[in-house]
Amino acid sequence: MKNSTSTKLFVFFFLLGSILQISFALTPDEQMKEGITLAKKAYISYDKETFQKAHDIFGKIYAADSTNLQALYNLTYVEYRFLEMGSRDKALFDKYVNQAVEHAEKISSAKGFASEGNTLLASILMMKITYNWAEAMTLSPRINALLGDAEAINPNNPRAYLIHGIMKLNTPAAFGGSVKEALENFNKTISYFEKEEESSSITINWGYLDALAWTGIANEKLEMSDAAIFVYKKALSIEPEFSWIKYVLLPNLEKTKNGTKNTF
Amino acid sequence: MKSKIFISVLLLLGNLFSQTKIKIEGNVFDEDKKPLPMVMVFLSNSGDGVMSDEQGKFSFLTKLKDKIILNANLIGYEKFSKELDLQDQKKITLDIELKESALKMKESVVSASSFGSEKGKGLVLSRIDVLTTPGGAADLFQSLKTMPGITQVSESAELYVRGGDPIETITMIDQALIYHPFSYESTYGSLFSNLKNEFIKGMYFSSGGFSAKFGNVLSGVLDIETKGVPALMHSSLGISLANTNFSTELPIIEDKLGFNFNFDQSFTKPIFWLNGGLEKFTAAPTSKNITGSVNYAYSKTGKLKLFGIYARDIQGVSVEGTEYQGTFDGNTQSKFINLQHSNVLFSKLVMKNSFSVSNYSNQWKLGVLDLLKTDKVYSFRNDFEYFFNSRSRLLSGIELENRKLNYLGQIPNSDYNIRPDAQKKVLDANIFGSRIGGYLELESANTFGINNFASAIGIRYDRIPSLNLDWINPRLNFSYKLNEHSTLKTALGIFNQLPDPRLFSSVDGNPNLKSMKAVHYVLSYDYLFDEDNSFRIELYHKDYKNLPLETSLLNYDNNGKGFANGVDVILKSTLTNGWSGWISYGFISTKRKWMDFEELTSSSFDITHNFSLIAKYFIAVNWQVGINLKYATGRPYTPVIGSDYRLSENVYEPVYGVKNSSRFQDYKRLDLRLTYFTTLFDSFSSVFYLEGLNILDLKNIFGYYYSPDYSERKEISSYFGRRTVVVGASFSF
Repeated sequence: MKNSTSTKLFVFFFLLGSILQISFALTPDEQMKEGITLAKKAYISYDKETFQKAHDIFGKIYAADSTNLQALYNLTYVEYRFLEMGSRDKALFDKYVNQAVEHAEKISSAKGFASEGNTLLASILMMKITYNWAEAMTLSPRINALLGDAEAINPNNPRAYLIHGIMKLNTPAAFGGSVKEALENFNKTISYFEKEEESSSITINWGYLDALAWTGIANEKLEMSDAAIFVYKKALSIEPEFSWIKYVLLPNLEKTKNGTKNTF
Repeated sequence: MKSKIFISVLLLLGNLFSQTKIKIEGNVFDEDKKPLPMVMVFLSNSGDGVMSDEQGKFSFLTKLKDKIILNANLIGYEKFSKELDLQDQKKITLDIELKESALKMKESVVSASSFGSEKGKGLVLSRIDVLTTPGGAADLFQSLKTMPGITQVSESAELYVRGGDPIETITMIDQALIYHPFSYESTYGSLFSNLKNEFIKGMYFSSGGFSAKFGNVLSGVLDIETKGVPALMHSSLGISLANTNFSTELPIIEDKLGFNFNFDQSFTKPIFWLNGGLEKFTAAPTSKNITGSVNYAYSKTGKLKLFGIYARDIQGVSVEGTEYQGTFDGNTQSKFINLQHSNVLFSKLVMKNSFSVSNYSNQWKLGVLDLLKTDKVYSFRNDFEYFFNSRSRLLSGIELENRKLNYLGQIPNSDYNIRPDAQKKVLDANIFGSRIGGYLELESANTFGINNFASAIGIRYDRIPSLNLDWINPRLNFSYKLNEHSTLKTALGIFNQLPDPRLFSSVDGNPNLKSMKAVHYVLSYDYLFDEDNSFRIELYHKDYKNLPLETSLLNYDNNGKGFANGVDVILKSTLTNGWSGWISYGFISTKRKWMDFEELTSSSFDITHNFSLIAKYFIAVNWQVGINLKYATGRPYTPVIGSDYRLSENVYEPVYGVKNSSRFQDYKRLDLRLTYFTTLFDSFSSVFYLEGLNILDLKNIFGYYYSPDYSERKEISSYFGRRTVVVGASFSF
C-alpha cells in the first residue's frame, strides 16, 4: 500500500515537474507560438477546451507583461471565438463579452495595431449583434466606421474585408446588406490572403478559412453551388479536418443538391 | 534480386511521374479584353482552383485526370464553363472571356431621375436614411422631400415633383395603386403617410422619364415593395410625445410562412401641451394605423403575399377665417388590401400579379361645408419579365382599374363665404370609370453592340372606355457608362394622365375632358465615388399640354398648358469618420395656364430654389447628432388687393390681384435630433431621441387670413411654424 502511494506520488511530482520545466523553459515567444498552434487547432475542430488552453497561455503572457500587445491581440482573438460560440451559449457569451470589448478597444487605440485592432473590435461588436440582433441599430454604424478606418489604414488587411463581407451578408438588404457586396469582400479577402507570404509572426493570422467558408455560403445564397463546393473543398484541401465545412457546410450543400435537405 | 528491386523502383517512379500535377493557367478578361481580377477559376467537384490576379492571370495545379469542367465565376458576369480533357496533358493554357450578366444589365439600364433603396443602382435612399432623417418622423414621404426633384411647396407629406401637382405622382405598393397613402388630410395637405417604414423592403422613386411600366401619371412614381417572410422573430415598441407603436415580425415556418404586423396610435395632445398650440384644436389630431401582411412561399420561387392597411384619423381645428370663425373637423378612414403572387416560370420568365381593393372616405366640415368623399378602387395588374439572354429582357404587363368616387354633402357657392348660413350647393355626385393599360419595354445592355451603352425602349397604351379616351406613350431611356465611376443618362417620353376626377363631374365639371399630357426630357450625369458616396446632376425640361382650364361655357376644357425647366443636384456621402448625409439642391422655373390661371403664370409649385442639408454624426460611441436644414423660395400666391361688399350675403368679396404675383416669405427650417443608442437588460436594443423641429423658431407660413373687409391680413403659421420639441424612445427585442 505504502509502495503504491509512493509510486503514485512519484509519478505525480515527476509529471508536475516536467510540465513546470517545460513551461518555465519556454520563452514568451515560444509560449505564444504554442498558444497560436492551439488556437488554430481549436478553430479547426471548433473545440472550446482547446480554445480555453490557448486563452490561458495568452492570458498568462499578458498578465506577466501588460505591454505585450501581441499577447493581448491573441487573447482577444480567442475571446472573439468564445463570443462566436456564445451565440448558442449565453453563459460563455456573458463571461467574455465585456473583457473582449475592453481588450479590443485597447488594441485598436494602440500605435501600429489600429487596423488589426479595429477589425477585431468590429468582429467582436458584430458578435454582439449576432447574439442580440436588435443591437444592430446601435452597433452597425460603429462597426462600419471601424472597418472603414481599418481598410484605410491598411488597404491590404484581409480580415477587414472578411468582417465587412460577413456584415454585408447578414444585414437585411433594406438596411444596406448585399450578397453581391459580401462576395466581393470575401473575394478580396481570399485574394489578399493568397498573396501573403508565410511569416513566423507571433500574432495569430486568422481568417483565411473563415473567408473560404463564408465565400461558399455567399455562393450558396446566389445559387452557385459549384463555386461553393469548390471553396469548401479548397478549404478542406488546406485543413482536411476543418469541422465547420467538413461536418456542416459541405454535407448540407450536398444534401440540398440532392434535394434531401429538410427546409422545415 | 537486385535487378528485381531496380525494376520495382523504376515502376514506382513511373507511377509517381504519372501522378505529376497538371498546370492550368491563362487569363480572364471581359468583352473589351479588359483583365478581370478576382475571378474564381476552378474545376468542378474539386478544391483545385485559384482567383485571378490584378492582371486577370490565373495558374493552378491539379492531380485530376480525364475530362473535367473548368468554371470561372465573377459576380455580375455570366458563369463560364468549359470541358477540359486532362488526359496526357502537362500544361493547359486558355483564355477566358466573361460576358456581363443579366444582373449587371439590370443595373446599367436603370433610368435617369430615379433612386431606390438598393445599392448598385445609383443613388440610394435606404431605410436607415429614412429612419434617421431629423424631422422626418421616420416617414418615407417626409424623407423623400429632402431629395432633389421634389419641391418644398408646403410641409405636407404630398410629393410635388418637378413643378407637378401632387396628383401627378402615383404610389404603388407591391404593384397595386394606392391613391390615398396619407393621414391628417386637410385643405393644407396631409402631414404624414400611412405607409409604415417597418414594412418597406425596397423602394424606387422616379421624378421623370420613367419606364413604360407606369401609366396614367404625369410627374413621378413611388414604387414600394413590402417585406416578405421574416427571417427571425423580432418586435419593437416605440413611444413618443405624439405616438405609440408596436410592430412584430413572426416567422411561422422557416423561409415559408410568416406574418408582419404593426399597430400605430398617434395622440398629439401632449406635444401641443408641451410646445403650445393646444388651444387651436377642438379635438387634438389622433390617428390609428394597423398594417399587416401574411407571406407564404409555396415553392422556391413561388410567393403569395397578402398585405393590408387600415388607417383612421380625426382632427378638430379652430379656424380663424375671414368671414367665419369656427371649427374644421376632419375624419378620414382608409382601407387597402392587396394580394400579390409571384413566380419564375421556365427559369427565364418572372411573373407577378396583384389584385387590390381600396376603400377611402374623408369627411370635412367647416361652416357650410359638409362633404363626404368616398373613393373605391379595384385594381388588377400583371407584370412579366422575360430574359432573352444576359443582355436583354422584355418587360410587359397589363393593368385593369375600376374607380368609383362619390361626393356627398354640401359645399359653399363661393369661396369667400363659408359661414353656416351661406349659400350652398348640394352634391351627390358619382364619378366612376375603368382604365385598361398595357405596356412593352425592351431593356438591353450593350445596345447596338456598343459597349457600356444601355437602353430601355418602351411603349404603353391606356384606354378609358367610359370616356372613349385612349393614348399611346412611347418612353426612351439611354445610358452610357463613361468609366468605372461615371454614367451619362438621358430620358425622354410622353406621359398622359386623367385630370382630378372631380373635374369630370357633370354638375360643376366637364365629363368630356381629355387626359393631360406631359413630355419629359432629362439629361443626367452620375458619379459614384464608391458604394457609399455618390453625386448626381440633372437637367430637365417638361412640357405640359391639355391641362384643364376653367371656362365659363364648359366649366373646364383642355386648353391649358405649361412647362417646368430645372436642374437637380445631390451629393450623398457616408464617411468613415462617422459623418453621413446628403446635400441636395434644385432649381426650377415652372409656369402654367390651367384651372383658374387664364394666362401662363408662375404656378403655385414654382419654388425656384430648394435646398436640403442632412448631416448625421456620431459624437460618441452611442450618441448621434443629426441636422436637417431646409431652405426654399417662398411659394407664389395671389394677393388680395381690395374687396367688394355683397349686401345680399352681408359679406365682403375679395378682389384679387394678378395671379401668383406675390410670394410668401422664403421657407427656412432647422431640425435637430440627438439620438442615444443603447441596450437595456442585455436584451432590448433601445433608441432614445430628443428632436427639436424648427429649433431656431423661424417663422414659416401657410397663408393669410383677413379682416372681414380684407383691409388687414394676418399670417397662418405652418405646421411647424413654432419650435417644437419631441422626445421618444423605441425598444427592439
